[in-house]
Amino acid sequence: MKRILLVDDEPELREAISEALRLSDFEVIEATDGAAGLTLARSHPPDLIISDVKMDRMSGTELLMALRADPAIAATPFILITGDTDKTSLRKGMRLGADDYLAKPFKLSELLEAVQARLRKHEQTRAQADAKVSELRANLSLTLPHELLTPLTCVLGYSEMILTDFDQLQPDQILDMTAEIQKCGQRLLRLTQNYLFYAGIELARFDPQRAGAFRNAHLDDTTATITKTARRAATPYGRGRHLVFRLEPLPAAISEEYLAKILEELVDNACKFSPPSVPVEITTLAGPLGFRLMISDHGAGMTPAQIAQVGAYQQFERDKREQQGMGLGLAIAKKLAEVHGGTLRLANGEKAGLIVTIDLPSRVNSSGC
Amino acid sequence: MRKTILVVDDEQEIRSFLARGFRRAGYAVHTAGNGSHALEKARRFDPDLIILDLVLPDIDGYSVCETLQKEPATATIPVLMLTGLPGEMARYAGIGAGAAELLHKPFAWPELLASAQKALSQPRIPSAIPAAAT
Repeated sequence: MKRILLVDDEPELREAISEALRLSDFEVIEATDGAAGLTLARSHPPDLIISDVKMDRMSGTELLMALRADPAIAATPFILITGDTDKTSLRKGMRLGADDYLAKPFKLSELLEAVQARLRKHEQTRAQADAKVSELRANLSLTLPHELLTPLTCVLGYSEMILTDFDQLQPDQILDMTAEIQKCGQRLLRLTQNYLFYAGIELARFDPQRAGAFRNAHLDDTTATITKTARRAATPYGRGRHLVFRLEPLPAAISEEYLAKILEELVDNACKFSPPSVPVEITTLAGPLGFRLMISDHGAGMTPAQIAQVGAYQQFERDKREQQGMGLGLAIAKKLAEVHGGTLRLANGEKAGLIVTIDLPSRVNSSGC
Repeated sequence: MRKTILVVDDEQEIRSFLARGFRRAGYAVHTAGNGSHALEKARRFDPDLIILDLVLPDIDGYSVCETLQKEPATATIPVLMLTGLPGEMARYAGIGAGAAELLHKPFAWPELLASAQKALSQPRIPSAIPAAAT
C-alpha cells in the first residue's frame, strides 16, 4: 500500500482529502504544518507528499526546500495545493522542484488523478534509474577484469621473475623490472580511480541533489587551472614544451577540481595519441554557452564510428580496445561537461589530429532550472 | 638453433613482459599486437610456438587459431592461448579452436614457461581435426 503524507492546516479539507485517498487504498499520514510534515516525512518516508502552500509553521514551499535538501527523502514526489492568490508561491514551488500543483477549489477526482499520475511517473523514473545502474554494474563487471588483469599480470609476473631468478639477475635488470612494476602499478591506480570517478558521475546523474550540486560551482578565471593542469598532464610524456596556449581570462560554471579533471584526461589523450614532438594546442574563447575550451593534437584522429561511440557503454567492448586507455578518459570528460550543463564534441582536424571542443555555461543558472 | 616464439597480445606491457621472459629463457621472440599481424608473422617466421591472447582488437584469438589450423604451412604450430575472461567456457572454446592449452591471466610465469617448454618439446602435429571434405 502506497503511503501519502498530507500536510494542511485546514481540518475540513484535510479530512475530505484523507478520506478520498483512504477509499482509493492509500495509507495516509497527516500533519498540520510544514514543520510537522518534515518530521513525519523523515520518520515515516512517504511515497508522495501533498501539501498546502500557506501554513503558519513552515510553508509548503519551505517544506519542499527542506525535503529536497535531505538526500534520504529528496526524490519524493510533491504536489502543492494552492489558492488562486498564491501565484508567486506556486511559481516558487515549481521552481524548487514540486512535481505538480492543484489550485483550490479542485475536485477530489482531480487530486486522485494527479496522485496516480505522479506515482506512475515516479515509478517509471525509478525503474529507468535502476536499469541504468544495472547496466553500469554489468558493464563494469565485464570490463573491469580485463582492464585490471593486464597491469596485474605484469606486476605479478615481474615480481615472480625477480624472486625466482634473483641470483642470476644483474642490478640493472632488477632495476628495469622494478620500473615496469611501478609503471603497471601506476596504471592500475589510475584505472581504479577513473572507474570510481566515472561510476560516481553516472550514479550522481540520477540523484537530483548531487546533479544540482554540479551546477552550482563557478570559477572566475579558468586560465591558471588550465595552464597548471595541462603542464602537469603533459609532463610524464615529456611534452610540456609542446603545449601551445591561446587562453582568454574567462569564467566557467564548473569547479576547479572538475575543470582540472577534464583537462587532465584530454591532455593525457592528446599526448598519448599524437607523435612525440608535435604541438598540442589549448584554446579558450567565448563560446555559445559562454565558455569554450578546445584541445587539438596532431595525431591520427578517430574514425567517425569511434567518435560516435564515445561516452556510450560500447566504448569498452573488447573489439574497441585499440583505443584502450582513451575511452574512459574521454567518457569522463564528456560526462563532466554534460552534468555541468555543457557539451563535448569531437572532430578530426582539417589536416590531421583530433579537436575536442568543450562548451560550458560561464555562469551558474540562478533559477536552478 | 634457438626456438622461436611469437607473442600476440594487444597490451604492450604484456608483450614486453613475455618477450623479456622468453628471451631470458633462451628463445628468440617475435611480437604482434593484433590478429592480422599475428597471422602475417606466423606465415613469415614459422615460429615454433605461438602465445596468443584471446581478445584482440581486430580478429579474436579463436579466429586466428582456426585460420592457422586451416593453412597447411601453419597448421602444426602449437598455440598457447591466454585470456582475462573467467570461466571454463573460454578454455573449452580455446581448445576447440585448436589451442594446445589455455591459461588465465594473471598467470604464474613459471607455469606459463613450463607450458611453453612442454608444447615446444612435442612433435608438431595439427591439434584440430580437419573438417571432412564434402
